Amino acid sequence: MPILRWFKAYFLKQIKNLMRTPYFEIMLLIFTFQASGRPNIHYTISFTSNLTDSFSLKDSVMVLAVQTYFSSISGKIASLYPLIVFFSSILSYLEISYYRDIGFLKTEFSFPVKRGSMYLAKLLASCLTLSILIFSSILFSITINCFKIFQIMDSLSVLQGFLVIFIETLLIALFTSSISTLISFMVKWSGIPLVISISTLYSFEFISLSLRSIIPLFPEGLRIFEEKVMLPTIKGMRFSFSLNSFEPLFPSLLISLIVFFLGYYYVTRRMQIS
Amino acid sequence: MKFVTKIGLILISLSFANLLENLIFSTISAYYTVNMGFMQDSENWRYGIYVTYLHNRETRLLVDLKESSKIGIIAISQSQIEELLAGDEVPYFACFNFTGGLDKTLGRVDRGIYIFIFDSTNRDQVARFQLVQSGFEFDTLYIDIVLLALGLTLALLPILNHYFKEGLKWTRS
Repeated sequence: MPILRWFKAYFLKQIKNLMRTPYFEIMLLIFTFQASGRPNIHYTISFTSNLTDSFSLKDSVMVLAVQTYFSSISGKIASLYPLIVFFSSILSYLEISYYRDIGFLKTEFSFPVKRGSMYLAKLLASCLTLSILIFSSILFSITINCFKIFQIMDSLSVLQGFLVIFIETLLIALFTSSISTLISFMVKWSGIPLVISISTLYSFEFISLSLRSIIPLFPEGLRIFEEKVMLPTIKGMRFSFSLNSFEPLFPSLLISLIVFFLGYYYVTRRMQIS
Repeated sequence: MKFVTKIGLILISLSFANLLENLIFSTISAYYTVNMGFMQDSENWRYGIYVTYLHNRETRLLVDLKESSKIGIIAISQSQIEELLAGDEVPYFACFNFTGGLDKTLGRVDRGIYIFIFDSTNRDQVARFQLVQSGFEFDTLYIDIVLLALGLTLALLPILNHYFKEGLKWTRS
């Protein structure tokens, strides 16, 4: 069990390092500012001969509530993608490249922790910090802006909407963190890993857009996932968490896993620190 | 104690970001424009129902008619919608009757869903109306200020605690 204890201690150290004041708070501020955009203006128009005919009114109100909630969720994480790319690269740079530049990575590798555990701890710390940043900022902005909508919709739909955001957050954090961590470990020149990971991850924005109809990659894959999983109807928001709706997430998840194992292999077998 | 300070700093970041967004975008007015034609197929419809989501801002209602005829508008807030759905009475917070056009300031409205019901017996009528919202959103502003104050209190708790203990020592001595 000492291996697990060392891993836990090392992981907590990484988390503490990435969440230190005031860097974490500044990142959170930027994320929240970006996520706090007002939902698009929606309206519904219906006609009736009798005002006491409550069905047409009820339907119109529900359709509007669903539309507003849907527009506040859909595309939220995809619109934050440039920020996610930037901060994911910075987090990986801070815990790997910067440590190598000041010579501390060599010291870390002399700790009684396995290289694999070290790689895993760094990746998980970066992924978790990014997830907390994205999820808390989006949750806060949606709650503030759509509070009145929640009173009309049923609480299960609201929670399912949050679940969609949570799944997307975890996957995008894993995707960006795994790529930026691998680049930070592989590229040894000072400052260069930051530039390479930002440009590599940012290029996915254009690649995913042009390959949208062939293979759904992040961040466009998130939009396709939202279209499949959330179905706005007259009766309310309908969620379908079937295997088919999760399909647009698989290619990016596969890339994340391949990059993760590639990084694991490189750090445990090939990496040399001079 | 460190955990409490961290929570306080996180609350400050969240509320400050939202406050900043609110202050910056308060200068931008939101326009809700729609053409509502009453000439609908062969049904005997009389009321046109427009539902939208309004923010807690200064609101102005402008209506332009295709031709001069009697039109009535009633505005219903979110709390009144439930009353309307439950009973036979039609509660409203604003009601206007006009024949030409309309330019009225509704004042600061609460955040929520609003229904505007247009009543017209002229089936050829087309109402082009616009809702203009401008100014600060005071409801979110208040929430942000409360969260900011709470965050500051939590963040400064160790310092306040220190001074409290020093004060206690001083009074005892």
